Amino acid sequence: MEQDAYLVMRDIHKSFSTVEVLKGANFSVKRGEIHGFLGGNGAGKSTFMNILGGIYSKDSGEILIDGEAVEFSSPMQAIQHGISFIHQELKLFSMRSVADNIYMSRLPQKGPLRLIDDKKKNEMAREWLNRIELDIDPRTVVENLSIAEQQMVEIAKALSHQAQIIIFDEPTSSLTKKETEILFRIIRKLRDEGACIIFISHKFDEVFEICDRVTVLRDGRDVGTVAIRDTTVDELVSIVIGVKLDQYYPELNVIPQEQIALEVRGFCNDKLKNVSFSLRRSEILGIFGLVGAGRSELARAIFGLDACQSGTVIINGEATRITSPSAAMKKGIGFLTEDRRGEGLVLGMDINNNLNLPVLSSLTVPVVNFLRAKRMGRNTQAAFERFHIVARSPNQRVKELSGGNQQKVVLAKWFLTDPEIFILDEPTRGVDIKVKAELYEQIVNLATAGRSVIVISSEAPELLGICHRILVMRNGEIAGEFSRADATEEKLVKCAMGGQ
Amino acid sequence: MKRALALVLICIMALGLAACGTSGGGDGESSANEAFEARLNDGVNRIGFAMADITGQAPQREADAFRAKAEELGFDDVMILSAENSVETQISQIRDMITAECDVICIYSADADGVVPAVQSCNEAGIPVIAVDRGINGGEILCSIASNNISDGRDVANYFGLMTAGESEDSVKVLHIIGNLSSTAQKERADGFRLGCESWGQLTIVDEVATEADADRIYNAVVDAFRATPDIKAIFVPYDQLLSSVVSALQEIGMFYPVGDERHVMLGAVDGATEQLEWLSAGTNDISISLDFEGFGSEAVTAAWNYMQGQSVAETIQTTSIPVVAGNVDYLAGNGYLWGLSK
Amino acid sequence: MCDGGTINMTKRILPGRGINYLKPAILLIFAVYIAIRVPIFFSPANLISVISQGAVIGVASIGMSMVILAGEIDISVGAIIYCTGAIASEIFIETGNLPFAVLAAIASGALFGAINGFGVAKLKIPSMITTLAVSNILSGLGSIIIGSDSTLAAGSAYKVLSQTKILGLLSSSWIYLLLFAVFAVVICKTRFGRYIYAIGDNQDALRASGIRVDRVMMAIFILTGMLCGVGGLIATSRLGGTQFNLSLGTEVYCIAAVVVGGISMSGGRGNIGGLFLGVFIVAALDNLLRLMSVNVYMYNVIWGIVIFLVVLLDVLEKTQKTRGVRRISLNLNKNQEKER
Repeated sequence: MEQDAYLVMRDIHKSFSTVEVLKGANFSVKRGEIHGFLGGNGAGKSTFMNILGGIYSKDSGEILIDGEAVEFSSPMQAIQHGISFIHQELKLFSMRSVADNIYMSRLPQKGPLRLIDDKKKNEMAREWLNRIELDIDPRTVVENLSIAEQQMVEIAKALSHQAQIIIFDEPTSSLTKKETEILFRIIRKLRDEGACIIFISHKFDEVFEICDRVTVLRDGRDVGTVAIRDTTVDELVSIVIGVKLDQYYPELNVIPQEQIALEVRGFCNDKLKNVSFSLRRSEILGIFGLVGAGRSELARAIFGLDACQSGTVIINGEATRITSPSAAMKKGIGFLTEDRRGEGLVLGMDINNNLNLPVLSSLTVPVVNFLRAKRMGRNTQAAFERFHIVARSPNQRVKELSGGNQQKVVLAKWFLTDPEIFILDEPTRGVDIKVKAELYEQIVNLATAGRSVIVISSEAPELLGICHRILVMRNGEIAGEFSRADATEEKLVKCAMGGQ
Repeated sequence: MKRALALVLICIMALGLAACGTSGGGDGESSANEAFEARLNDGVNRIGFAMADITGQAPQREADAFRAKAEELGFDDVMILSAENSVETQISQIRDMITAECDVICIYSADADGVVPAVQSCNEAGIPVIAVDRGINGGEILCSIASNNISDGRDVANYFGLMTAGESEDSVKVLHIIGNLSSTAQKERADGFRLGCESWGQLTIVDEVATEADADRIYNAVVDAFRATPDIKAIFVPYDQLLSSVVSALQEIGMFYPVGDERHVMLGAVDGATEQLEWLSAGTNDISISLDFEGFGSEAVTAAWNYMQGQSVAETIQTTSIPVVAGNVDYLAGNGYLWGLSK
Repeated sequence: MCDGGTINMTKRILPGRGINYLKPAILLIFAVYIAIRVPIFFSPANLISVISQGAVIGVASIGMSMVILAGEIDISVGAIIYCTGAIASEIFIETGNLPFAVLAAIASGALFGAINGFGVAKLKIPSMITTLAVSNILSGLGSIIIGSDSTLAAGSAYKVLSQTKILGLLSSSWIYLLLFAVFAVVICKTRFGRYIYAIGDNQDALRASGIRVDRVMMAIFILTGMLCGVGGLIATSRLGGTQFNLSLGTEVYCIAAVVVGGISMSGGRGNIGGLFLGVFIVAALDNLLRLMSVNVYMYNVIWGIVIFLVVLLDVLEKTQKTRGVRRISLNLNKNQEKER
């Protein structure tokens, strides 16, 4: 397998303090290949790729590029060896121009005073942009670009460094369908020019669409490399999670009650155009739409995070005004934001405190405001069991957890408050398949317990799997409504994209 | 609700403490006197002098004279502390003096109002307080020693008036630079200067600029004042050292001419500092009021001594100031009347 | 002037985003009011003296703008000016050697800046804390150096440095204008300048580009210290010596000048050309308050309000910007998975 490989990583070990994350992982990529890299949360994918990108240094093992052993201890050294890492969180200077971003590490100079030759810089940058067919002015400030364009800038930067190995970490996570297609075209073009592409993703459909081979990492070891042609989704899933998963979505036995828990009438603001809908008790309502269709904005408006120019909210038959999240919480609404790092968690705080944050007032001794540590601990214990949070201890800082585990903490936190109405914005984002299945079950359990749930997602299958009813949003409006019986993925996507 | 309750609790506790504090000091009057007696008879005569600052010639003269007089009269210990113009520092220094069991504390205050709490502490401890140079606006003061600041300021105005006598009504424009607003001495000088100007018809104050005695602000103030009123004929600053900034500013805008030149801008100040007295002969400035800084120091010690001997002490003791101009500076210096030019 | 800074403007001017016009509009209204109320303000002689009054703040603001562009803050500026000024004037009084005094001021400024830089770049102490500590040390040190000497006695030979008239402007103004021109080029057109912006923008990304961020940071603080040394020279030579606590607190005016000049307090954003206007406005306001004989307490109140408004404006601008940016960053955060 390794004979014609350009990049070979052999027996890589890496530990953080006492935790061994990589236990002898192997990986190899050929020239002109798009190689998928899969693994569940905590499998060690990021650590492995960060070693390749020069961000972490390995404890043992070797890296060969074109047959030669290489060592590097910084991202810059990795770049010099032709390795570019395009992170999910792009590492760009958002206030600088595109050309500055591409050439920051080697700005061209001219004249005896060695002033920056901006003209030359822009021309050179334009060439790289042309190579990836990105038609933007190199002088454009990066923050004015869309995420897709910013990603392209990262690719141009990688190419300008003569990158032979390009790592994409979940590159499509915030792209629209069309942007994804463009990205894939570029990636294929790079492959055809002989580059090694490493494609990290959670989305199997994309992996099947673009990858030539796939390597799966599980529990710090590589557990298989397969050619995409010779495998199926089911097979790949079972490699990733290590066991065969029979039932992915739970049975939806609960029937929504007649009573309307929440009604939204005529919501308008700069992102929403006259949105109205209602939610019954024990109902799971899905909201589907593309990125930017106004799904999250609707949730934010209901929860009081964004202002509304007009519109009313009726909760349990009573018209109310919600102007702040705390007001919303008092009315029994819980909201799981899509931006968990920014708004869902206090990253510097430990799990225990994060979990109990929304319910602190019920955990304090009257008058003196001391916290009841025991009750907090009990809550945390319950959350750990219910959500299978993997952490060293409840006192570990949330910042140090893997993305999937962070998501579990956010969910657990809101489940603790036990609201009447749950709004979950992309609850399964960045969560591995096993946890996803658990989450779906938790959501259905909520409905069974008489709660009402709104699930916002851009993954149609998951909404089809667990929702009673699905609303489709497009351009800030509700473009369609489908009952569980007659919704299909095709119908939802068509409606979301305006193709009716 | 809980929070309110907690607040109330805290308030009650605080009130309780305050009550304890006041009851403890209730019979302060008699015990204070006893304390004073006790200290007097403890075998050590200690006098404290809390100075706003000791930098510059004048306060140094004051401190030197203070020490010399104290030694001459037979004080066992002299404690002189400088607060670097910080009233907080001065307050803690005065508290230190109380702890050190000074028999009398003299204060050249950094701030006439700010220092009052420390004076009250002295009162409670039964230590007499003497205000030196600058007044103090509260507490019980045994005696205030100062020059007649009003008349010092007025003397400068009178000199300006005399020199321009005969000019038409309101034709002589005067710039009045105001120094530290926290200094009673400077405030009184300013009042005196205004009074003086009023008595001369031709003098008119066109601008009063508060500068907090900051050299940079004075500089800018002079430049800007001349932009607004190009024909200013006289400038008054509260003390001599600030004249340096004024001269620099006049040089920048090309308005600096020596005495005798008809374009000369008259400069007057109070203190009698060495450099400004030397300037008088050179024709840079016109008048300085030489204060008796040595007198401040020695009078304070004398008053303290008298009080400790059981004699009565006057509430205010005024030292004599001497107006100095180019014509009398040599004579006065020669006869040792000027602290700035002695030795 | 700078390719990043100016392009920003084209985007910022969007209909309905009134904040973009707020600053120029306020300025214009104010200027008209001044022209009517205090006509003397616009006389050439006064404008010239405004520039010379702004020289110290101006020189120090060049340094402050670099520090702020890099996303840090330096509140030791006033104390460095005070201390270097004290060193220079004492040396001049003692030796009468002007070049030596100049050298000493700039060298000691560099040293003080290096202490700041070391704390921020190497020891990773927040710049607010580091510079606050240095500020306290230096204000004490300055007073020790001045000691009990007669403070404004350096005499006219020392004033040559800043009070010589060249082509109608004082040499202090020329020093400021010259330094401004040089640093405008440095900030806009050199790698070093570009790194300053980049640090304030995304330090991690710059580090990942293989640039020694700590060295750049160190250089920024050293240069700021040296500029403050020049500021100390100008301040003391203007007065012919120094005075207790002279120039302490100058940093507040520098920060005001930088922010009025359109440089964002959060770093990475702003055009150095605006700084010139910022310094002028700060010096002019000071000048105006005096021309209008504003009472000293009122003077402080007005300054407090002005600084509050200026920072408020900066915050408003930022929230307006991040409202757009946040949407993007939300998308960025989606689906992210960080493993250990």
